[in-house]
Amino acid sequence: MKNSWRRRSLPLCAAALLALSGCGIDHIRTLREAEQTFSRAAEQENRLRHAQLADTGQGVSGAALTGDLADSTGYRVAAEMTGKLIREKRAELEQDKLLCTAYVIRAFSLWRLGEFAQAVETSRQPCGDASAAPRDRALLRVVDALVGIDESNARIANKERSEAEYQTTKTQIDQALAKFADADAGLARGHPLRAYLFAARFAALRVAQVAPNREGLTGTAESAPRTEALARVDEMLLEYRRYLRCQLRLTGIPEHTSVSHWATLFGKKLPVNAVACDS
Amino acid sequence: MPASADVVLFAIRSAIRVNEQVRRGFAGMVSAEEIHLPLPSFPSSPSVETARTYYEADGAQYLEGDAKLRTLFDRWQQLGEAEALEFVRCYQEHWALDAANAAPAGSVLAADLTWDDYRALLTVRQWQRGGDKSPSLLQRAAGTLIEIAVDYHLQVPGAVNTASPNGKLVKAFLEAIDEVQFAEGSQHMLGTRLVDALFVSVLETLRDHPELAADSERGRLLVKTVAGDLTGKAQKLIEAAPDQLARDRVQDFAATLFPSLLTSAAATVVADPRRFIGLGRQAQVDLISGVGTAILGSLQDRKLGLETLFSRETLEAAVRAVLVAAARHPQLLGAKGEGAGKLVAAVAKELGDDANVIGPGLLPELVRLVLEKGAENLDILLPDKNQPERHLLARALKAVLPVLAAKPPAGAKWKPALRSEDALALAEALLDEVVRNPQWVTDEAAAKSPRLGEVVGAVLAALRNEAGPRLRRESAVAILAAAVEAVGRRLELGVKDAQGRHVVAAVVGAIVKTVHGDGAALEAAWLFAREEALQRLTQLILDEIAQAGEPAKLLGRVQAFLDEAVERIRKGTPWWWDELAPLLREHLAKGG
Repeated sequence: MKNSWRRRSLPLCAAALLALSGCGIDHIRTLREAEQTFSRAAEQENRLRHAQLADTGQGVSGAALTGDLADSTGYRVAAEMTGKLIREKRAELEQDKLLCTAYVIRAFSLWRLGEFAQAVETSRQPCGDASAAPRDRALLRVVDALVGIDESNARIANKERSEAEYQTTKTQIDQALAKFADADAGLARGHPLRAYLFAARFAALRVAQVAPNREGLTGTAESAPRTEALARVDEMLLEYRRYLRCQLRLTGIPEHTSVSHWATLFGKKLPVNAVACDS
Repeated sequence: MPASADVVLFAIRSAIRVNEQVRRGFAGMVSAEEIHLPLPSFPSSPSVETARTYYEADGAQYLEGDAKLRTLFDRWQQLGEAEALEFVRCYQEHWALDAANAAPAGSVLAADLTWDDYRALLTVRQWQRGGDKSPSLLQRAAGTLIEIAVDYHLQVPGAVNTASPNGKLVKAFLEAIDEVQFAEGSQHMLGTRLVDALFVSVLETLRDHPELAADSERGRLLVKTVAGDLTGKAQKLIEAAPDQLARDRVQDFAATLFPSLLTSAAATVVADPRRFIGLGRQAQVDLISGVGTAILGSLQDRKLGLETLFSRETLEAAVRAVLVAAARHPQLLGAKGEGAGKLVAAVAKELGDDANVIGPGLLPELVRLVLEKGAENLDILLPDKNQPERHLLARALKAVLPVLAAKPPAGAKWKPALRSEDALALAEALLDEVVRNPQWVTDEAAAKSPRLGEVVGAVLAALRNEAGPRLRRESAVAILAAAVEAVGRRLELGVKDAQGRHVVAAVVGAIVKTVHGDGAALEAAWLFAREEALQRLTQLILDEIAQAGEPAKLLGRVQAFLDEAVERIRKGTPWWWDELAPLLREHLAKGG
């Protein structure tokens, strides 16, 4: 009797499970697709940038400064997917603690599409429990800083060269660096996002290094802020090397190639002595 | 009726409960997944500001005595594009010089930032590795695994029910993945893509080979051990790989190898247990796993590029052959098949160059052939286990392939180049012959001058010289195979005569000349130009001369026979195939 009951119940269970499983996780599947689409677009963009790294001519002429995207389709698709998802499935995303992830994908996609105001607005939306998604929370906090670097970078490449332009850039870069430091402080010391935040800070300092010259400043007006930026680079480089060695345990000699990459970009000699880790 | 209502309500409650678990698990996985992040736009290459900074401080000594550099340095804000470029180039040279001087003697210089390293730094997980919420490999992959399981649910009944045989195997796989160990500080890890592919393999193998789950305990042990060992080995190879390309290759090859191992296990250990007699359940599983990890390990020979060689089908056949060989000859390949990888790699390396000249796709098929044909008699064919490249079947093919790959000589009457499929068909016949008679490659003389290659070369040369353009490649291959078989039966046919001709080649030359030659009788040419007729005639003659006739006089007597047969056909005298053999025997038996 019991077996007969089980025989009848199993197909029903399976049917109900299949019916429910399709509709209950659709929003998660969609978010996952958006996440993967965004990652592919970012990887494509970064690959292009990496290919340009060694091309001296780009940096000298300023052609690489504008950061125009060769193909923004992936970001557009990811932005639209997450926009619709947040509009229609906000409650489900919140319940599954995925709202922050959805906002990250949307805000970052809009940022790379150049829709800065919307990107910043998206990043400021509340998305629930801070401890549930440390990476996402930190990323949402730095969207306006990333936008600030992009805007500053565009400013140093434009035709207008003036002290006022430089001051706007300086303010934006200082604010961006403060934001990055703030986001970094909220992360566990070995969190992988710290590597990205270091890279973003180096990017900001690089803009700070070239901005005085590109805005037409000369003499001390040019060299003093450049020197100040370089002093921050020194500090940052030390902190970065400590993170690589002590947190990520990249203890090889020579050090990770990104150290020499940043040192070359800023015109700094390669550090010789290994950094010490706290016990 | 109340019972029906209970059943319905139970089904709904169960489904909701399970669905909730699925949803929660899936959401957790998506939240934990890595994302790749873009950097803001910034001056990402060294510029004049970089160069100025350097020469102001760390590189100041280079300005002394270098007037041109000094001018570039002083005028840095007024430089034209070409001068700016020169300034930056000077900087890059001096910076590199500094780096080289500062490096301790004998140390390696820092390399450029590779795409691999760049990518790794910008790919970010939700949580820190090793932290409380750090996802394991299984957790990272779980999102897709759930989707895959739902997709396969109807095709593999019971796959998600751990009380069923299929479910037990699925669980064993998931447990194996959950136990994969990562070295402290390892920067590169197995991707979830590989786990997804392995999981699909498990489900497809269960669908196509239900017998694997029939012996539940052995199946569970097999899936868990093979999945665990293979992913463990793949992780080690990934950690040792020099770049992302190499890491991707490891994962792709492991994904192809895993289903081959499972299906081979089903086809050999489960379906044909007699071949594995004497091996206990654990020993069988260890053998399969050992063969798999050994083959995966052969990826370390990057020059060989084993991962690009095999299709799934050829790899499966090769794995099956190696499994049989390892089970039958543990003294040669190790109790756990440890020597399997070296054997596969050695055979591929031995044949690679010549096979690739003939055509793409030939090499994996030849490797499969060598392994399949030699599996049962490996103790005879592999005289020294430490020298797998001396596998006699590989040596036999190595002697023949250059002959087949050679272009037709100038003036040849029959010119078609042999293609991969021709070489493969011939190789199959030749290897069968060598397995029947290993003397082809084992005796001293063969080692110095490979007789097989000589015979094939001589017969092919006879075809090139005497056959007309109508001869099809398939017939040529059949004639070559028949000639080798005849020599296998009678050594004198493969030995050079007083005029320096191999008897068998001279006979083949006479046959095709009679049929295809310039002076061939039209009626005979018409009849024997049919492929099956030519092949039948050749086979008949080679069969007979393999048994009778004085070697020095064979050619003349075969020619006399051919002339008489052609004359009969030309004159319209009735004849039958059955009469030709006795007629030839008469000629071969003549004195004088």
